[in-house]
Amino acid sequence: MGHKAPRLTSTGTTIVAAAYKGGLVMGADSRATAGNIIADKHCEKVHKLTESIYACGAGTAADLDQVTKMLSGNLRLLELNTGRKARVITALRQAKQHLFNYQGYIGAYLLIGGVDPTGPHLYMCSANGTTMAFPYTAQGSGSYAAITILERDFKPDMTKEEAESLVQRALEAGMHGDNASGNSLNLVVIEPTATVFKGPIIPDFCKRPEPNDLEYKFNKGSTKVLKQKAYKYDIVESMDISH
Amino acid sequence: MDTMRDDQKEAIPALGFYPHVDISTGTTLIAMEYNGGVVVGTDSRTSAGSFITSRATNKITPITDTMVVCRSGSAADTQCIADIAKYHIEVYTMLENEPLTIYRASQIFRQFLYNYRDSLSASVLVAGWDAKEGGQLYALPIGGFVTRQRSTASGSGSTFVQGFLDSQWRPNLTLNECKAIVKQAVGLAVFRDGSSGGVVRLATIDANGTSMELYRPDKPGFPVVKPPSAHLSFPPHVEQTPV
Amino acid sequence: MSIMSYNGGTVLAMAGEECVCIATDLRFGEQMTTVATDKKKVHKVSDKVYVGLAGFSSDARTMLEKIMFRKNLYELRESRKIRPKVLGEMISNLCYQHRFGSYFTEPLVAGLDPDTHKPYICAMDTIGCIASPRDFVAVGTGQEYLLGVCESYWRENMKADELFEATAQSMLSCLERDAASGWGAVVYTITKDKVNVSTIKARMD
Repeated sequence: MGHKAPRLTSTGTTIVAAAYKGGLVMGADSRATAGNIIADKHCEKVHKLTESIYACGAGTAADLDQVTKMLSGNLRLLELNTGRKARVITALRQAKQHLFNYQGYIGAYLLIGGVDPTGPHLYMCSANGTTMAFPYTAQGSGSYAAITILERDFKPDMTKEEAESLVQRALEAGMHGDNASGNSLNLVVIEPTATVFKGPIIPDFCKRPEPNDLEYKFNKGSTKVLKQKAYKYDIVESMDISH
Repeated sequence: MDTMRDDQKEAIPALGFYPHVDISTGTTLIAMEYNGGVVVGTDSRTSAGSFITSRATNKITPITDTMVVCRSGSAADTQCIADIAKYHIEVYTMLENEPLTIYRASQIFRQFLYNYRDSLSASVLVAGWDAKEGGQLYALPIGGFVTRQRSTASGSGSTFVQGFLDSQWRPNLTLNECKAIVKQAVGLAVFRDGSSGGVVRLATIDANGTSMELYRPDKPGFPVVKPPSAHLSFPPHVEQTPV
Repeated sequence: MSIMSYNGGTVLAMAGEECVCIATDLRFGEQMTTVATDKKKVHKVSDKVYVGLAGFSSDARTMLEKIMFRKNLYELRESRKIRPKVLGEMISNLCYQHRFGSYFTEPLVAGLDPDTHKPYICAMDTIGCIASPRDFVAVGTGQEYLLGVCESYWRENMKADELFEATAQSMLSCLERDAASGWGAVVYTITKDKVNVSTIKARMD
């Protein structure tokens, strides 16, 4: 006999990234699921590691939050200690060695990408510590749908607009075809000079067909209260520590 | 309501549930000594179950200027072993102020593969050139056993070409003869093995260092495989015309 | 049978305009047997910050003690009241420390910022993945029923009394269908000048 493990929130996800001439576009949907429940409709799966390195995550949501938090902390310390911008390969090594140590039990599947002095880079890092470099790729449960769009439409040296549209279309394919992806999408465009974050973008097919116009307005007192007590706060002399 | 069965251990992508699908390089690795060095050839497919995670992987990992390691088995394990072994080899090289022999390197790999044999599923070919023994090739299957070979094939595709290699090898091959055999062997393996595919990568290691070549199926130079054509007279009740 | 539904119980929080509501049922069971009918799963952490702990009751109690310990230490070190967002982050980290052997409890935080009175609600899973939407969160055995009904009952910018009705009615609807929760409910309405604790009339079966 044994007990069933509790249902963990996972980002059954579509995450997509593609490199273009001089930059990189990364994107993710925003649905978090726990079994069949949509646990979060607008969760942030595009994690900032440094000013010009981002990570998109699929897998166990808590693991992704903690791993990316650890990475961004370590990279910031590295930047402060060296006085240089961190490199994408550094983020990747940290991630893969941490994940390999835990032999896949930390369920974080990452796309790590960014621009550093050596150019734009895009890597995939699997929970068991496998890493690979790509010009374009997708991850998560919606990746099968997303990758079809990428395989069909990707070409080397696209413009920023082309790359952005490609990533958005790939994400929408994933959100459309995969039940565990949807709600809205976020994009980040990374270039040597600037990083632009776009979102949340809600595709038409993710909108509620009818807005919630029904007013479930309960009259005051419609709930029968058996007992009630009000607790006023003790007014302690306020401490102003703002200066 | 939970619709997931307790004992079910199959992947449910829609729920973001992946029960330890190892990303592995179901691979074809061919290597052969010639009179001035050694040639290795690989396919480029990486798969997780039936999904091709990457179709242009480089499975030939450089360790020094005159040594490479070809990886097969779990991608995470082999990448990790290659990283750690490379580190140790670099340290020894610096301490002793001369390049390590390929034999020494193969023993370093063996040490890890043997000590962690219960938790690793990694098998590698160590190939290279040194001043003492010239071109060498060491095969290390899962478990940490080492043999030096003149010609070897490893990975899932190797079973299809073992006989071919046996029939082709002879002493004192020239570089071009050796390259032709290795390339053809990879071509044959890729043709028959479902978990090998993509492009053919060749690496030649001799006294001057390592040179890498790539052959794409859509460009000239890719090995041609012509199996006997089908019997159009069978089944007898179906009329078929040649294509 | 999952350990998460061994004792039963549901907690719900909704956010309004400068107010939040957090509701709990009162049942404590052992599988299908009801053992106690006065078990609140919502606990006061500070004046305007409350925490709900659904799931396995023993772990919920251990967790509450750890939360109070950390919160007290924080307030002593920093000489200021804890903000609900900070508490949420703190609980999340506490949960993740036990990543590979977690407490079987799903925490929920609801409260007002002590300075700005901005409402904050969040829920997390057993290993501390925070979901912090602007509308409502629910944890426990009745989560699925609540999320559905709240989708209709919640409206933008509700005042305290509207918010109370919406929260209470959502909870009552949940208790109609969740066998592991029930035996009455308590709704805490947190506003900038007081907390109203109301025991509401619910079905007692």
